[in-house]
Amino acid sequence: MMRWFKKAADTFGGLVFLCLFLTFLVQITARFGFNKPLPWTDELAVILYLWAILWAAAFMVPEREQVVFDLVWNSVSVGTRRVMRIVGNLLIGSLALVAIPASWDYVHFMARESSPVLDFSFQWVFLPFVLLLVALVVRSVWGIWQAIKGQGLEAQGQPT
Amino acid sequence: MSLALWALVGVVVVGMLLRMPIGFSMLMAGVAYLLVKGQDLGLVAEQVSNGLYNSYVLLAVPLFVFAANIMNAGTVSERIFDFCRILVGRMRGGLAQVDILVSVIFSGMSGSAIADAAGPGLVTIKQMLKKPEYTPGFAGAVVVASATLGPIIPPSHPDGDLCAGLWRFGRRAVFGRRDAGRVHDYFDDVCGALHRPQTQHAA
Repeated sequence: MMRWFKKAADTFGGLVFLCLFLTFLVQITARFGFNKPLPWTDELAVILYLWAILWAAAFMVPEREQVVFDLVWNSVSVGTRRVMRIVGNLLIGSLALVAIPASWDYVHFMARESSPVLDFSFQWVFLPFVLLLVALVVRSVWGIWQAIKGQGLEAQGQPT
Repeated sequence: MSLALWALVGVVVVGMLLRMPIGFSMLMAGVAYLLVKGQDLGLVAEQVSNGLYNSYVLLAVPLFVFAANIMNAGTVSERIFDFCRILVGRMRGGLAQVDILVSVIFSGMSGSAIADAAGPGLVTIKQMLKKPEYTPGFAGAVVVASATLGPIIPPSHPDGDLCAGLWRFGRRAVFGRRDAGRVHDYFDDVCGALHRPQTQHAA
């Protein structure tokens, strides 16, 4: 189930990025090849960029590829690491959880406006931010569960 | 400092020390600030979404990395790497020297530190880790330091600005402001030619 979901998320993110790249090619060809910039490519590229970035942050980048500060982590015992992991995930997860209703409120509110050229509702443009918050909550719960089970507590980035 | 500001700084610092991803710590610090301040939490969503929506220039970052990955997949990076290994590979600390020379060549093509680190940097780190003499920390440090050559060596974005600025400055110094003769126009053309493609490719 998890693996299937991960694969689906990766595929979707890849497709969004591919569309972004193709839009960019169209834009460059139109602007520098035919000297006629197309307004819709500008807008579509930005919308796809927003989706790609937030979607990737939420569902694609695995935890070990995140930028972290592990000086303290690597110098304490496994027991302390477990506490660190639980407290840290609790902090991030609870703040994300608290922010979900208000964020959804804002995103939903933006339904009354739409992008100037393509007429996309901003509700759909900004939706991935809410998805990111939901993913943060789920990840935090998963991280706490793993810490209780004692997994993923080894030192990181040490010379092998 | 007010309590809200302490919450902001506190969440970033505590999150970082607890080995939470730095980006998420910063994002959640904003939520903590608004929470303590008693303001609408939707402001975080508003700022992040609109910030990304209006930052067209940042689009260049993922595409730079993508270009570097294409070069890796097409073995362009490896060919440059082999070329440099022939030149400086037999020196002491050969792979580190090779990486620096690769960065010099590659920065002539990309003009971006990010692409430099993501492209040839990846190849060099892989090669270095095959040998026990190079630690991951050393490999990373050399790649990061040499990748900063990207924006320094000529066909790069900051350089385009610098050249154009110097041309203008020199022209004013030599001909004075009032002179509007032919030479002046010529220099203006050169400035334009130097300046324009650089700014357009980044914007």
